[in-house]
Amino acid sequence: MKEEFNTIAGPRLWQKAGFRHFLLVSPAIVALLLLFAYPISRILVKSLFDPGFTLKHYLYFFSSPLYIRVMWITIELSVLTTFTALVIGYILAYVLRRARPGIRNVFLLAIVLSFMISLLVRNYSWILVLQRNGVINIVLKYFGIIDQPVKLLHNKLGVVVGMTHIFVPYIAFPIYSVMMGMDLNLEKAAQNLGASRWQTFWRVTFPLSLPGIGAGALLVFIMALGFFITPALLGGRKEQMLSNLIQIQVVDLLNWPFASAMSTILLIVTLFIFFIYNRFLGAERLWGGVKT
Amino acid sequence: MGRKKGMTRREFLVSTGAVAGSALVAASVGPFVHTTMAKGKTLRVCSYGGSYQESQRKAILQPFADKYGVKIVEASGPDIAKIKAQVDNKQYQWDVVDLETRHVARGELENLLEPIDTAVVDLSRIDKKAIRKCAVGNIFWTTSLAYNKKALGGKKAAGNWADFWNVKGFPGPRALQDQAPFNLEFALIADGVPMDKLYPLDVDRAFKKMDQIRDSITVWWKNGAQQIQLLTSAEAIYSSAWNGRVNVAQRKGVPLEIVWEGGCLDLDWWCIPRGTPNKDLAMKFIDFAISAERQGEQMQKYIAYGPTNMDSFKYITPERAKDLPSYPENLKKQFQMDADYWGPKLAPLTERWKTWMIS
Repeated sequence: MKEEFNTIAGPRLWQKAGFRHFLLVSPAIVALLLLFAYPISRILVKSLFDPGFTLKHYLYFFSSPLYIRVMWITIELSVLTTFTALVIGYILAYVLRRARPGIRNVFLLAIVLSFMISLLVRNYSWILVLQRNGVINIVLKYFGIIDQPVKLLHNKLGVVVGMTHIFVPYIAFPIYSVMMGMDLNLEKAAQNLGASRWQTFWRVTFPLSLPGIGAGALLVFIMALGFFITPALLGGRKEQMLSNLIQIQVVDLLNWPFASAMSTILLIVTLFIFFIYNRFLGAERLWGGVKT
Repeated sequence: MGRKKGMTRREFLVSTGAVAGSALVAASVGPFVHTTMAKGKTLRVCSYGGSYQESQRKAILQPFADKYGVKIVEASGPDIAKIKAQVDNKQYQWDVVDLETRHVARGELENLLEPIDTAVVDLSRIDKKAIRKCAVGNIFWTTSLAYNKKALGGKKAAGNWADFWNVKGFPGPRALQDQAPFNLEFALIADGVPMDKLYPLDVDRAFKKMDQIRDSITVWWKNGAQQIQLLTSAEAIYSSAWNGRVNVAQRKGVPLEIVWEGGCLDLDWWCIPRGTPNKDLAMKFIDFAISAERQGEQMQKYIAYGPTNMDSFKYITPERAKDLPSYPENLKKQFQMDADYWGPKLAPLTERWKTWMIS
């Protein structure tokens, strides 16, 4: 139906397409404001006012060796698990891209199914596999390869294994979908021109899959920063994450202003990572846009 | 003519509706809220869930509901942070809460709990250790040394904390809880400090003693189920553990033993969030819950914790009494956790503990 515009005054507000689009989106905006922006701003306020305006919680965080070190441990562990998940996820996506459709669907289904198993169940299953009397140690002992059980659990190895297991699907899917959009003929063209298998991969395939790598790695790294169940169950005494400390402050010590400050700092670190990602790879890629 | 692959829009809507509808039905038959049916007023009780809450339900909550015609709505997962949220916002989800000592101490410090009305709640037969201004102890429970008898394979078992620290004399993988309270006391006992001279803690001495054992600890456990699982699978042969959980495992046939010597006696407490509209009914409930007969039935039949009402042992058989922390023979080997020491000290000592853990 054609709109009848008043040719002198122009279209009314409710006649503009832009306004109607805004109306469609407004429930989502309200939900975001209420459930996301409001609570976060409450936390920010709580960290800065105790009771009057004060920076003491932030100062305490940065002057205390404990929290800086734990922040560092958190970042280090997140980077490590992002990297291992990336390697495994990339190989997975690469192989799946080139597999026959029948096999490919089976594997994709398997990955999706792993999403549906609760995190705790997956962590506990790693405990059964990695512990002193676990599957791996029993098999190694049976074949006489070892005398004493190998310590695979309650250390960094256990945490990396557990967290990587959780993260591989999150990284594999973005890379896979980017690869699906890639024309395999480009690889054949490169080889035609004389490139070796490695050169083809490194100079054609890999750069084209970079947006998927960026999206997946960003997602997984941000998730890892906030993880605390897996390090608590599978880690040793040195695997303390910042979220563990925040939890102690909230539940045991009731020091909510300090906990809010710690949470805000973690949020700022996360936003900083996102900002760097946007600078180099463009956040539009995350939702299917093209970097201009 | 072949149909296009994939769903039509109608099929998508119908299947989504079916999934959502069945999820809603499943959620409304919700498993986690027990409602003991009775007409009249409602009382909301929060406790720690599992077999512990079940013992309370059978011995205390159901009889109270039946006797007074009150509907009891149960919840699980009590902690002082949630109580603070309720009191601050005057939105109460719990009328009576079962809390552990450190949370009670913090709650009293921050004025989050109702003072116990001694006109309604009869404290005359309650052990002195179980009486605080804003809380009444409902069980004695012990954290102590436990071990897997079978995994020891005939070797002599450690009999106290000094033995636990003696890694060469009593070899085997070990576990301790990842927290400062209890562990610092155990360290001091292992170092020779008599149990009645523990508080105030010589923290430097305790950490020096912890240094000796830190690298022999395989696992630093974080929650109750984990400690039992570690001992059962022999991931750790020796561990600190809660006697109630050890007893439940023993009754299921797991070859665990608990050592009362050097155990840390602690309590759980009934308390009331300050300002709840159901205060009067809550006080009546606490008076009912700490009566000798109720506690006697709970400990005899359902769970191996120690009653706080001194008359309860009338209702408990001698063989059962030996398993309980407040049995006189067991009681004299333990020390009680000093809640008023830990109230102000928990924050700084937790930081020192975490710093020590990652160093």
